[in-house]
Amino acid sequence: VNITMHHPSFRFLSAGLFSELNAISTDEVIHHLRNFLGNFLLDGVIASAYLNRFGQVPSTEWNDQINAWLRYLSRKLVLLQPFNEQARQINVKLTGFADEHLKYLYRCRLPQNIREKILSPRVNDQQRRRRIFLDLLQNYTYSIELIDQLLLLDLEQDIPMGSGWIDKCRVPPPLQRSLEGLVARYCLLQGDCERARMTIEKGSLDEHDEISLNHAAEIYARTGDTDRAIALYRASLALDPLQVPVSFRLAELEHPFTPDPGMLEKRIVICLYSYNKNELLQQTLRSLATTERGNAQIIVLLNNCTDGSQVMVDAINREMYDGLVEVIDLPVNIGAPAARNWLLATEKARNADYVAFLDDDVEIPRDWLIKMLTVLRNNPRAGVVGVKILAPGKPRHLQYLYRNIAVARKDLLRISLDTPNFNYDSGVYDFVRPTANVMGCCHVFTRAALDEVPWFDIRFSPTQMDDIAHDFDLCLKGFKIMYCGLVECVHHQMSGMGRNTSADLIRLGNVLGNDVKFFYRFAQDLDGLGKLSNLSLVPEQPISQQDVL
Amino acid sequence: VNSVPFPEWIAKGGPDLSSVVRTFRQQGWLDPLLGVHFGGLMLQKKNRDNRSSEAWLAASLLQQVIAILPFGAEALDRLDVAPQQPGGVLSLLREHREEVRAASIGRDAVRRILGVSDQATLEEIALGNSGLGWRYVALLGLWRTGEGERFLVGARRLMEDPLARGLCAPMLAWGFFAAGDIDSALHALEHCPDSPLSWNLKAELALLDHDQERARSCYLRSLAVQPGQPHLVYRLWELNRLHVGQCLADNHHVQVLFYTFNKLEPTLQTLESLLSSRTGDAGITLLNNGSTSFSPLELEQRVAATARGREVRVVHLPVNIGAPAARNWLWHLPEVRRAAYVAFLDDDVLLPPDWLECYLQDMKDFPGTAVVGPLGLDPGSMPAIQYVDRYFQEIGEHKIRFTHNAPFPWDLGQFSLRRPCLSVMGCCHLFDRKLCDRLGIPDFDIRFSPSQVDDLDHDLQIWKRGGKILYDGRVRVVHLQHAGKSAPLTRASWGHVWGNHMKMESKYSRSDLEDIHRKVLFEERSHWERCLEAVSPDLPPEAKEFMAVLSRYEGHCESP
Repeated sequence: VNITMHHPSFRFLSAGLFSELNAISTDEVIHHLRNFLGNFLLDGVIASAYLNRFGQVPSTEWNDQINAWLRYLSRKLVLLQPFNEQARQINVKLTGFADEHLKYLYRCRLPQNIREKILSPRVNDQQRRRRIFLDLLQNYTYSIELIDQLLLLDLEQDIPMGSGWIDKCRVPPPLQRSLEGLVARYCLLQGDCERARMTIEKGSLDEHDEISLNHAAEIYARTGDTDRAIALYRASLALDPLQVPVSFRLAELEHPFTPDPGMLEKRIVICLYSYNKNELLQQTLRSLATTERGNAQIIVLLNNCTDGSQVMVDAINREMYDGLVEVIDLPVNIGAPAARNWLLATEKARNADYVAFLDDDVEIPRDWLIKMLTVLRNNPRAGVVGVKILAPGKPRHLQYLYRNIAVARKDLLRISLDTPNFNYDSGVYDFVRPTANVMGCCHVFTRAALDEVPWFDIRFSPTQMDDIAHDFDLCLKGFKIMYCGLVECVHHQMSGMGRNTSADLIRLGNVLGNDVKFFYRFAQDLDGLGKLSNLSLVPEQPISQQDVL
Repeated sequence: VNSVPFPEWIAKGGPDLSSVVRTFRQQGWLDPLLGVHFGGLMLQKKNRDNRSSEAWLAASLLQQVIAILPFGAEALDRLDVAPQQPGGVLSLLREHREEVRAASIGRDAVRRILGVSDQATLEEIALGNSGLGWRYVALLGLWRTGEGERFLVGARRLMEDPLARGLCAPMLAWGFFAAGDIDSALHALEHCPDSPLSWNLKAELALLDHDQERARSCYLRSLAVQPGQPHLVYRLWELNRLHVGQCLADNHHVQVLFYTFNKLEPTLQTLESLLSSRTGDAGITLLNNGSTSFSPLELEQRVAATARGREVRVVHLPVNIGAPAARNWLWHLPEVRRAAYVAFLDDDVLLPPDWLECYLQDMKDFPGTAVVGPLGLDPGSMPAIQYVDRYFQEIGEHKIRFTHNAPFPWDLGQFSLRRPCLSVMGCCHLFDRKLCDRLGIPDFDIRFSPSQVDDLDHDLQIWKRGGKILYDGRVRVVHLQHAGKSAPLTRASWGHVWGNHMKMESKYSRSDLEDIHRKVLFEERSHWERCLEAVSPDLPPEAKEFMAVLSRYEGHCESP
């Protein structure tokens, strides 16, 4: 969406990693990359973004550090996208080593006119795209580009990998293993772990490819073979110790988290607020009713709903909660941050040891509360815990994991990405770790945290950024923000913005306006915010990197 | 956010002549820097003809500048090109040219002194050994910050100098008047009996005595001396409409609403002033927006003690929900829904006794008005103007710049009038509830929480949906917030203001804004023409001609 905002006092960087990296210096890009690596594993798009940015540095300014990162990234890109010719060419150029695969890739190339056809993004309809590609495959059974695209389409549409077409493919044997590796990877992402396991056991596992090892590890973890999983993750870390999430995941497998059901005996309040989302709220309350809550008290605040939510809540309250849910029905919509504060000001919440907030459009697992409370108990300085947020639908997409500070300069503040770009859920983020922000649609606060930072900031009304600001306030007061990837919350948030409808523009203006408020609200605390990064977890340059593929 | 500062405005190509003329007509007294610029520009034109209407307009602008800033160096430079006029300040200036030049003060220094908010510094300049020009401008600075006592000392001292007395007495007379020293004002008037400012002040004094006829003849005399005073057309029109007393007797159902967050004393001051104003049997409700600096009980006790038997309902909320949500909360109370008129007050205002009577009269005099608002004054012993009627200064695709909330801080009676406008100050405004419901005016928008911009945005919504807004400068409300000496905004507060402005801009497309602008201009201009037509028979011929020149330069105003 393009919107022109005129103001002498600030300017916006357009969204996206590319523009962000272009706005910062080379040294800051290295910090940025290290921070990213402390959060997530690289994927093709992200690795390319950093690689491009380093590529813009004049070669006269290349030093050992930049060189090392360039090689690290180009190697990673080759592993992530084994059929990407350009990535391999860059890697050859950077390392000086030949690449056997390249000549096979050249051999499998499509004729140029066909190639342009499949690269064209004009066909948005995925099903149609898939049909066109399948037609082409009849004539070009060797085309690794077609196969690559079709695998991705199968993954996205949750069609069993290669069904009806993969047997027809004829790729050169040296590429066969990469292809099967990809099939195994995508089977895992679709949740078909049995087939994924069969595929790697047929020999697709590449022991020199940490990405292949990571997926194999997760496949074994999911099929009950924890020891194999641990061994594979260890091997992966030996190849690339900079994979911070792998370290956390390995630790989780080595010492599994044990939930403490006794935590449910604490005084707990679960708060929800809603504004005209009758059906989703109903679904949320039904989901909540089936979970283990001990004696937790539930309060639902209705923000002047005009869609019959009151009647619905009353009915569910009687049907599933023995009428114990406290309902607050406000005569006007006071917005999200004020609604949160209203709930926090209730007698129940003021006397609670723990206060949970759930959005009105979530599905949560049975043991969410026990696990989240146990995380808080295990981490005495923890002020809040959040969970792994998934988008609805299949295959499973990560919607929000955790964030910290990517750039805190006196003229620029950027919060890190909320998920990797390639955001299918392999399970590698199933661990507990500290961070700087977790998603506000399902989080639990400790009494101490709420005593110290009692209010959500109503300047961010009606919504957006208030939960992030609250987390950062807690960080600045010395609290830890905990992420618990062992709880999965499905968030039925409205899908992203459409294109240029006036409602979208207004919403965007709201988001941007809140961004301005956010920046200036923390303008005095930029030093403190700058410390909320992963620099201590990732070395200044990669060590003992393998260049040979 | 509110308006482009003057120098940047000029640098960007500036406004066109027609909008300068409109600004002049609306504001009566232009910012002297603007006056010098445009007056000079018009006079520099090649082949200028001193008898042309453009030269006449330019001369009027320059004469204004000289009246406000008699020691202003830039205006003095242009003295020769200004058309000759007998008597008054101009001839004095020409007579003492060298002396005046020695005491003159340049534009940058004026801007610097007027930017000073520290009263001790201003006092030092006003009483020190600086040139007369500096001392005089420092007095204007003290006036601007609301400091009457120091102004009086400095002004009396300046009046001892014969040259300063001759040149500055008319402005200083208004200053004495603003500081409540009528004797000194009368004394100053003796030194400059025939200046337009003097005649205008005499009219103001006559109005204090309820002598409308005397006021009328003073205004007409003033216009004879200086025809270029469009604001007097409004003032003359208002003279026929001073009877407001009976409006309350019409038994309107009025609800007065206000809300506070942590401001106990100002809230009680507001209540006190509300209760001592004439409000008939209006309902009064105070919303306690989750205040933490006093308990609900304490508030109720203090309110009861202040109300002395008058019923004041107090609604307590557990947390601060912000101003727009608080307004909506009050707006949707059952008895407020039933009201004919609903007033919102800030929790830090001092009201004149007849505010509600004036507003109810406005609703009758200006049909279709959905909301009416006041002239806002800074607090202080010499209140400066804080807020008047506002318009668009610049609009574009998701771009809004408003005219300044106080384009001219010194009250010379030029804003004591009524007219339709884009937006009024939200610290004391009255809504026609039934009309708002009929037009489907939305609630105050909570995206602007906790405050700022929500009332501006609401005014835009009113115009957008076919309602009108009226400014009533007869209602002078002291707004205790934003005192001249208050601390500057923090960066976080500026960020909040900017963020909210951007949220508002994103709500309106260019065509939305252009529609609103057209409607506002049409209503505003139509009112001017009505006033002009009504008072025209009385006007001196030159004034009549001048107003016709104004209309010509301002151009035709299309019906929306």
